[in-house]
Amino acid sequence: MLRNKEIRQFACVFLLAAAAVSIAAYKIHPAAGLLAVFFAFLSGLLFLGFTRERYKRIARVSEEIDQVLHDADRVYIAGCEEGELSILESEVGKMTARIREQNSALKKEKEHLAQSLEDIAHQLRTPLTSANLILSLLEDNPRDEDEAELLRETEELFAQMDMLLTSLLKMSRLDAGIIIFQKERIEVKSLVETAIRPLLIPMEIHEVELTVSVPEGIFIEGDFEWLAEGLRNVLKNCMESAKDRGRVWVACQDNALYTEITVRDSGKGFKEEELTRVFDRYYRGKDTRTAGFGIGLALLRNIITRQNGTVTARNHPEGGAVFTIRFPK
Amino acid sequence: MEFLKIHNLCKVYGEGESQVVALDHVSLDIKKGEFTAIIGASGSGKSTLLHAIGCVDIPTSGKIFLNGQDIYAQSSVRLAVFRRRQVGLIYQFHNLIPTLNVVENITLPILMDRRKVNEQRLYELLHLLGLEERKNHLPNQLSGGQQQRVAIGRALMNAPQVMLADEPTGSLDSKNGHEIIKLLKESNRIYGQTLLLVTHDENIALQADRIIGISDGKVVRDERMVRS
Repeated sequence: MLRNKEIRQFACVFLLAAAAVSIAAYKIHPAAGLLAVFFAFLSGLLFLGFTRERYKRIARVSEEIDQVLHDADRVYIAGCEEGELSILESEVGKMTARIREQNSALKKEKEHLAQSLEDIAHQLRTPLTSANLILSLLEDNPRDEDEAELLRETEELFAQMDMLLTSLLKMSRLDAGIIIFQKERIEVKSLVETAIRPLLIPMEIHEVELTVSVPEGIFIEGDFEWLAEGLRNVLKNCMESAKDRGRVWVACQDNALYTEITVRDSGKGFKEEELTRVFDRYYRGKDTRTAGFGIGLALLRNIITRQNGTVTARNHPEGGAVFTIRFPK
Repeated sequence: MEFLKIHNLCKVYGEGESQVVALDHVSLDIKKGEFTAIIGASGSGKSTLLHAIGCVDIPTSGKIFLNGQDIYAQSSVRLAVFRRRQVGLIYQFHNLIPTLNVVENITLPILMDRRKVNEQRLYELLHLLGLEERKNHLPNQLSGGQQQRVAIGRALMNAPQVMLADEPTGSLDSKNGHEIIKLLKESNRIYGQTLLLVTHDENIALQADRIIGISDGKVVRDERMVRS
């Protein structure tokens, strides 16, 4: 109780006043002095006793607030008496009820939004599929090389659109919190291999040299599919930065505090002012020739953070970008 | 979790031959923030139900839980305090204290708690109710519709968890009545309070999210309105 400033102040003033009165009383008569001391002592004790009870009650209010905020089912019961403390309890009860309500309304809105996005995406897929079909029919009989080239480009664009739709859907589902991540024991080596697999052919075509130094026997906990997806997004980004005949490195480090996966490319790296925005949802970097979409990295960050990991991006001292994904133990 | 839980509520007046069963084992669950209309003919028990919830009339048996708290497990003194802080009541007539002006009537529950009035909230409320010009008038200087607005203001000022309105438009013409219901609905929406409205007018009841029909002290109808 002495930690409360007002109690300390009171104690000082009270002791001084008690001492003054007792000395004065003693001067009148020793017995009076003794009585004064006794009375001061008694009233001090009584006051502190009542104050302690009041503080206990306040502490109970704090405890209850904490419980109510963290436990969805618990409801704040306010005492119904006259007086400041009871009014405080009553107002706190109203406030926590309002907060909970707002939270659940927010959650519902997010789910609603995710649902809308999903509907839009599905609807967009239909004309996209038809367009793809028509395109493949056209490609069977191109008029000349130029037309064939244009058709190929269009096919690529459609593929990108499809990929963007899929990423958008995933992103909105993650945002709405509908996704439940599995908790599996994952070997990093096999995770990396799964992530790389679909990129091996494009890497060969663009003559990108890939170096993987991930030892066996390193394990993390998380959702295999989603982590592989996230990792793939980073690798794709790096592959595209590295360009033709570039290099990409994947490494893994394990120590008592964390397990860390790093992906590095031999590309141009980031500009200083870009570094803080790399993971922003639609940021594509100043170099608009990159075919990558801003959503890939944002998706990655979402996936990693929701599984209690961290991901950072910076420039490697020898050039190129480095992505560091860290899972604390 | 349900915000308002009524369990086996019974209210019996009188004894023996002249016994009147106003409420007969009524059980209901009401969600927080819902606008519920209770509809029924005269004498069906709907007002008795509202008064039981509003801690004005103690039931013969049964329990009512508001926010998990057993309302009637408390003494009448505590009940009065509870009512002051957690419940807003609006009646058909005679809502206001005739010797207090509009502002005083609206801030009554706060003044009774000996608290300072939140001026900003008061002015927001006066603006919402359209009573800024008349804030110092006495009730007998106001029209029926304006009096009901003051009553609504008083019910809103303390931000109670639940608003109970017993035929609030009964003594008003249809245009005024419409306005009042619109006001109540808006405050239900803005402040997120649970609103229970008793009426015998089906048109008014149709504006609610949920309609409960009472007849002879029993719940005979319970529909949720589906709106886009």
